[in-house]
Amino acid sequence: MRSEQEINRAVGSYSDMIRRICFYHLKGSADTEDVFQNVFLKYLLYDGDFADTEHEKAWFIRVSINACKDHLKGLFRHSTVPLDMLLEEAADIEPDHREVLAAVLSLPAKYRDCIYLHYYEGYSAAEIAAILRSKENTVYSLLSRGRSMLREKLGGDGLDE
Amino acid sequence: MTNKIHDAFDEIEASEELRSSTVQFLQAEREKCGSGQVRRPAWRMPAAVCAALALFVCLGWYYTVRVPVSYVSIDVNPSVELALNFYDRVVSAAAYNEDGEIVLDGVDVKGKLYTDAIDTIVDSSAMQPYLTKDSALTFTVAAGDSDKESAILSGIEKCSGCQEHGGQSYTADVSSIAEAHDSGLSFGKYAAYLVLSGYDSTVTAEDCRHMSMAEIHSMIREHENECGHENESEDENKCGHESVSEDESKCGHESEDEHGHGE
Repeated sequence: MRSEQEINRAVGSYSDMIRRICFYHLKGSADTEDVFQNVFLKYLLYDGDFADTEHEKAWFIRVSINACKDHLKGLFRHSTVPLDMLLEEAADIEPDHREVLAAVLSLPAKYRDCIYLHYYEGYSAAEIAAILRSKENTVYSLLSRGRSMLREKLGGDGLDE
Repeated sequence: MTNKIHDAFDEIEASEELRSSTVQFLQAEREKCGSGQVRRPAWRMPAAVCAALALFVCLGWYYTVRVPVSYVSIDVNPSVELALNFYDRVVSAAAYNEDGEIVLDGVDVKGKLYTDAIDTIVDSSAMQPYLTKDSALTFTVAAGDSDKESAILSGIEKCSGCQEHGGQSYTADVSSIAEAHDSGLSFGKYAAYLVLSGYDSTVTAEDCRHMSMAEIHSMIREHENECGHENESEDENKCGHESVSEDESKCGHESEDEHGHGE
């Protein structure tokens, strides 16, 4: 079991990232809290060692994504909460940003992880493939298609490759 | 646009309330852990039960289907051993001399019920040259359970292969199997060797390896006859060998007065 010091450090380091992953996967703050806490509980009980902080971060990303998917599967909550409701939660977000978030969140689920991990966390396609345990070519395809869909939704502003 | 996505996501943060409630939650879980009440994910128990059940089923399958629990040694001159599973089906067949190898080369008995396997072996063309009127077709059963041994003996006696060729059947101790194999003999031939060596200590397992069952039986018969005469006037202990076989039965048309391993 992890020490209190390790837990406090992890909560300090990864809370925002896990919150964002929960945000684009889940549709309600109560669910977010459940999944959020469950991710850290897994960390508390996880006995494995991490090679470095990057390894630990990748573990948190994978566990968070899986926890969100499991939660959605378990409750059959796919698309049960409209996007507007979700964005009400982020009412104090700037209108431009809300528009971007709405566009990202309107993408099919399989694109969102790649878009988030690439454009926010700055991972390359190869790194995303390793984290998601997917094929690099699949990640390239998802990124490319996701970009196209975002362009359609957000107008002509090009997204960097 | 890249910056827009980054900036937009940057606005999503974990609130202090969420962080502190999580820290409190983890503290509570840690205390439960200390008192052995840690909350495990709900799926863990059913998954563990399923895994245990699957393991149990696999082990049960492995034990009943793959693990030999009884053995039948078929000896004429070819010496062949069948290892049977819980359902009396052949798990493996092994030859203990060259003649046995020739017989097994021509048949496939794996997976067959032992009675079918015996019929297949006895009826095989490779076996026919050895099944003469002077030969001694001998079946020896070892199961470590007298009920099981009786059931297998009974099955063997009903085999057409046993009845047509006048086979004799015996039981032997399971513990003798390893000793037999160490001596390079099937446990059926080894049981006969033990009986013979009870009469004549100069006979070795190696000698028996080169003898047919008919030859071994013939020597045993000679010693029994000698004993019979000596017993009338001399020390009874001279012939007081203990038979390895506990049970002996005959099938087919052999006369009842022909000798067996037992007393």
